[in-house]
Amino acid sequence: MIGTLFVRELLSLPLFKPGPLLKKLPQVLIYVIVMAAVVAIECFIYVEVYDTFQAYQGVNRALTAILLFVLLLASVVYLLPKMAKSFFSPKERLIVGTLPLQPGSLYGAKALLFYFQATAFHLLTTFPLSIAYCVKSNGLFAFYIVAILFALFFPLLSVGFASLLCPLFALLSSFIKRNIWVLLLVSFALITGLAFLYSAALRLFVDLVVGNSLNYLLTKDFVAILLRIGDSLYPFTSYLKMSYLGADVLNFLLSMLICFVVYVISYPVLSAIYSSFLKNGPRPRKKEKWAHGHGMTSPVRALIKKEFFVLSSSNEGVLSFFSLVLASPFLVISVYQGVNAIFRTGNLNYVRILFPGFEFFISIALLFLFLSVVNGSGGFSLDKEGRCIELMKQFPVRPKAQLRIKIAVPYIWAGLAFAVSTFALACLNSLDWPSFALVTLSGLLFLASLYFFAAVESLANRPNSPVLPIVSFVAPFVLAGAPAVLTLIDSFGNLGLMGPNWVLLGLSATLFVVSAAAFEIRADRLFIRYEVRAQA
Amino acid sequence: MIERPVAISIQGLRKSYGSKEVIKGIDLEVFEGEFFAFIGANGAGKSTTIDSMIGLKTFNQGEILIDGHSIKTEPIEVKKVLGYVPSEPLSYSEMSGLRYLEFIASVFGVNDVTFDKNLTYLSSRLDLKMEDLARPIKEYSHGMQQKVGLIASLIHNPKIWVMDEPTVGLDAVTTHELTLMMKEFVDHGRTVFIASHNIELVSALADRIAIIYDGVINRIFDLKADPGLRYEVSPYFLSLSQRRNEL
Repeated sequence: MIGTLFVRELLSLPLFKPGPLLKKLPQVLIYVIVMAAVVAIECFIYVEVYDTFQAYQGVNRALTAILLFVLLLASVVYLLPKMAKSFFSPKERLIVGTLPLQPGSLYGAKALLFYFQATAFHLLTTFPLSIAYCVKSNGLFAFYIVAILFALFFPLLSVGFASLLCPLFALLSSFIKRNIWVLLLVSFALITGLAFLYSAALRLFVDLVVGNSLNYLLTKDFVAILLRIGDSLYPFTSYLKMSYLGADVLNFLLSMLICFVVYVISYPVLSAIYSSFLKNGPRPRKKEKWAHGHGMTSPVRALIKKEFFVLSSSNEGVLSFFSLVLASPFLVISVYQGVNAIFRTGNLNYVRILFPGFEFFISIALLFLFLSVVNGSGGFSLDKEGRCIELMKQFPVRPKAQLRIKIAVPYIWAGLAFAVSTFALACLNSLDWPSFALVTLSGLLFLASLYFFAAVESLANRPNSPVLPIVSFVAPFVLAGAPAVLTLIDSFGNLGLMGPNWVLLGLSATLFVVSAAAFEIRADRLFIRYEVRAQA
Repeated sequence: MIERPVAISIQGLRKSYGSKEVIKGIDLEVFEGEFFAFIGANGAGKSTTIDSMIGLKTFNQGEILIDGHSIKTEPIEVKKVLGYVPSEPLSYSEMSGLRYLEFIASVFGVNDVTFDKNLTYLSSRLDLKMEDLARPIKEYSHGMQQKVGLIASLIHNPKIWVMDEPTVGLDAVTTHELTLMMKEFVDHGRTVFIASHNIELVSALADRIAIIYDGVINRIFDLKADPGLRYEVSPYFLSLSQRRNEL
């Protein structure tokens, strides 16, 4: 029975969802390429850092132990939301609750799936790191076998910790989701934290790529701290010591035993809580007192509030649109500066000198692509309304007015975030001030075009239409490419053509006019024709 | 003879989904202060007619006037006078019941005093406790969600109450209360338009019952003029269904 249930769980994963192989092939290929890139970058950074610390006795082992510990935490963070969603889903409870199944079998199938997922995570993260460590430290060949063993036992620790924390996480996330301001605050804190971590990793990566020294890491205090922390991470240190001759095998076996024990302890705890959930359903919440006084507002204000609500309560939870937009300046600045640093060194520097406008092309295309990606995933979307489109149609408010509000709310947030990004780039001298004004204006016009086209395409109910992908992912290159080509022509003939920023503004304004006209002319009619039930 | 004001007027309504014609020409008039019921088998065109009436769907041909306003040219005026209850409860389910009702009332331009008065009255009639209204709608049972939908449909004091299978998922006590509310609504000179499979219920309440069959109005029973006809509705409807099965 566990086997059948396990297959059911497996088929619920996006990668294994039944469907034609040809359709899934590109998805699988992208997945494999991304994973390979992750492993390659991870090993590259690790090896470079390893070389930097080579001179210090024991620091590399401590550093590797710390990295393994961080990856353990990352695996727990990766598993927690998945486990909470899977074990405490009221919808699934209704389905499986009516079937003649033992809670133990259901739990076992899920636990097995999460073990495999954790194993995949560790095979992609901790395993390559261990191999790189062994290669760099000239470790024993036997360590490769030990590493495989570790990759099989280590996931038990991840799943064990995640299982113990899972019920608490489910309770907390349900509390956070109920309180919109807490949700926004937590989301913002998390995304900002991630953005800072990301920018730190990016800085390290860029320094390594452009050949900067990492000596700023090698302070005496920092090295001492690394050694102290590394020594305290007993299971990881004893595992890494297995790469040397005469290592204490008993210590290593004890580490494996710890992984196993944590898992064995966690199994009955979560299993019991899961069985109770299946039997009794979600814990009834303490009844809240009814509070008068939100008060009536104007229809427009009510619709704006509703739009905030729909956007912030998206399925992505903590990665909701607002948080993503709020944190986007950090990401934009990190990546913009990182890429610029890369293009100003080595062979790419020649390209920059040979083709004036190349740097402009890369920078603007990157900025606009960022806008497309952040807003494409969470901005305007009728899908978020679902059947509530029927409600919108009943409101005594003109469709175009409702749609304008639907566009304006995310647009203002995303536009502000973009303006903050470009302002910060100007403050950091990555953009001069006249360019800042023109690029910001162009970006805002491009962003508005994105929203208008997204609205028209969603209303026209054309999921396979190429318009939106073209605007989102091709337009940034065209908008940035055309001025760059003009700059190049200008450099040959000294023709005194218009500056690239002005050309960018002109093109963005044209795109904006076309999109706004399409929206203004078609929105009312398309909205009335948009039929949710007929699609179903 | 005094001419009664028309609340809903449907003339020559036709609607197709692709090449399939679902509504093949409906002509209908519902008067102010009337309790009008609409019955028909699954797929006969009941919901499509209602959806066309309230502006959820466009139609290929014909004209629909609600309280004298065309749904095509004056949809906002139409929506102001309508209260609609769908067959499946529909709401922003992440919101609490209270917040959702406040939102709907705000969109319809209801003021604080009217909202408080209507909410207190309607929630007590439908036995929906204020503590429950503080919880997210997604945690409600189907029946409770339907109750919130019923309150939302009446919160702005509509002139015409349109319902598509409103009793599905409601317990017997609430169904009884709802029938009383519908009667009172009509007694206040307003109009009820209800689509239902529950022939016994609508036969006992409605002034007129229209049977829709294969996209057209097959027959209208005027129960106000001849109360005895209420016993003929069910057998007639069943004979139609049998004929359909034989075909």
